[in-house]
Amino acid sequence: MQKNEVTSLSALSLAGLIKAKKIGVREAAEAFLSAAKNGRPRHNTFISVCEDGEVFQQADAVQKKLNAGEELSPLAGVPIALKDNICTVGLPATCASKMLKNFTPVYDATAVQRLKAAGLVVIGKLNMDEFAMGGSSETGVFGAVKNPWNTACVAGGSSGGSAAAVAAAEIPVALGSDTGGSIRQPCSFCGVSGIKPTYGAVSRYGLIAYASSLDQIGPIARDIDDCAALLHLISGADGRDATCTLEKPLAFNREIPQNLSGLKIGIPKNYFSDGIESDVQSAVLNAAKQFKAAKANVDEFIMPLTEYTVPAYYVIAAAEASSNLSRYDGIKYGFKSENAKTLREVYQMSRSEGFGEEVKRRIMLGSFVLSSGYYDAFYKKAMQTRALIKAEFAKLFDSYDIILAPVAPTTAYKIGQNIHDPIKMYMGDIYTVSVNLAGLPAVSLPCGFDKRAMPIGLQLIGKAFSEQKLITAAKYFQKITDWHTKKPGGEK
Amino acid sequence: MKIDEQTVLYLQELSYLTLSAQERAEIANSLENILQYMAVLSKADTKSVSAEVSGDPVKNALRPDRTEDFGLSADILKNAPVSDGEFFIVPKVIE
Repeated sequence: MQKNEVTSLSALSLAGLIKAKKIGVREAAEAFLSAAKNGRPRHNTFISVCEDGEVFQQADAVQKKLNAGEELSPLAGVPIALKDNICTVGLPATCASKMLKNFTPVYDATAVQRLKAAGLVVIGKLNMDEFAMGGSSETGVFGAVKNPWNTACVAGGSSGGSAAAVAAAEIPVALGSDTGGSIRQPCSFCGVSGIKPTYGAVSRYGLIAYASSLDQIGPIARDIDDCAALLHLISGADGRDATCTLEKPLAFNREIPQNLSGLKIGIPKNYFSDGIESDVQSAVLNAAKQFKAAKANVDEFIMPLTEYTVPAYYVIAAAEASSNLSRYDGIKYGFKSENAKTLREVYQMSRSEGFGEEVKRRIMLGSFVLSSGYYDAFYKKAMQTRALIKAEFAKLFDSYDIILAPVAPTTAYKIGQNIHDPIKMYMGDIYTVSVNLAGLPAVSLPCGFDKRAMPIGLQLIGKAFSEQKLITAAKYFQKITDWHTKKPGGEK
Repeated sequence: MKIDEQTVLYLQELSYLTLSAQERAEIANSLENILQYMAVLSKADTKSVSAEVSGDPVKNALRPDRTEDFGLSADILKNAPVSDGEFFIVPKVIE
């Protein structure tokens, strides 16, 4: 089989051919290694690509087990790449920061351990916003990720490298992380599928922390079936993360129902007012019509508290970031300033030279909202607002199984267009951050293109641990539409 | 809300950062804009929420509190900017 035939396959189809011995694990790895190496200069997706020998060693070990008749998993033999904030033994985990450029983890994240045990082959680490702080994958020290649909445009963020690499068929599946939309929004911008799991469904052990009460690792792939297969493998209890409360891995029914009769879908009609691009609005509402035609019960409601979600999110995320990032001291690991003489200078100068502008801004914002005199007005108020948002979602899920919404108000914009306007960037998260504040699961699915031929994404949100229901609806949508099968045509 | 030079100096102290005068002016301006935008939170009616709210109701998946020797000290020290192979080295703190 030709390399480009191999890279055009979905992960589950590829694993099926590997199982049937029609493709070797090494052959699959070789095809994606060259796709990654070829795509890297065009899209700036990979921060590191593993050495061939290292990949072949992994591939041969998996092949040996398969040849011996071991049932590893439905994705055994499939190559994967990971966002560069997920730890893997022996591979650098830079978080796209000068601070961690020379950091090599000494342990695997739990999600990575599980993927390796399931027979997936890690081929590299993917570009992102520095420390996952951003919505465009432009803030990292390795430069902006380029959108495969138009390389002058951003890939979204912060898991932009993961989404763009999947869109460009440089990798069949990837892991990203989602703190305020960082899986869903780049999936929307790049025309691929992704899942932000319920908080507590996937262990955060080995995920370099940004905002611990919001962060979740999740899958990105070309279709929802591949995402579900990956989520099954990485979810479930882990003694090393006390917040991972899901006892057993999420299991998914592969059958697709005849119709969606009985499914109650709510559409927040105030999401379709100011600030949303008209092409996004019509594509998402058109998707809603398709759910209605499939006999789902679709109606509209007003989403309360929307004016508070982005401010509450940024107060809480910045507060947690300022605390989490205090570990970077220039002593135990990470960048150390050459000019520092005293201990305090080591701390201050290493952090000042090692962190980029957006990271410093969020650390200082976090320090501010937690400081004496402002704590009550900002941090405490944001936490109370978070409790209200959570309660409102609980009420909504008494009436609806799924909330259908856009992922982002716009499609991918030009690289450099918004980077100097933090508030504009933060406003781009308006439809995604409430999901993290409430700890809910959501899927992001391609649902159309705008006038510039850039992909548009649809979001399905469910109550905690209702991934099965979301995925069934998503599978149905991908059965009756072909947006997820479209591929970028190259440079423009 | 006005973010003055004094506030920025205080925040950089809290954050263990040292910014240039130009960086301080830029951050003052951007924090001022961001905090002005966040000030809308004061309008949220949170009377029904406990004043002591501290995040999600705590539900932890606990494990037995046992030590585990990963045997990785040497590898961990390899990541240190300065070490003697056995300890992290820091500048002298006691004269």
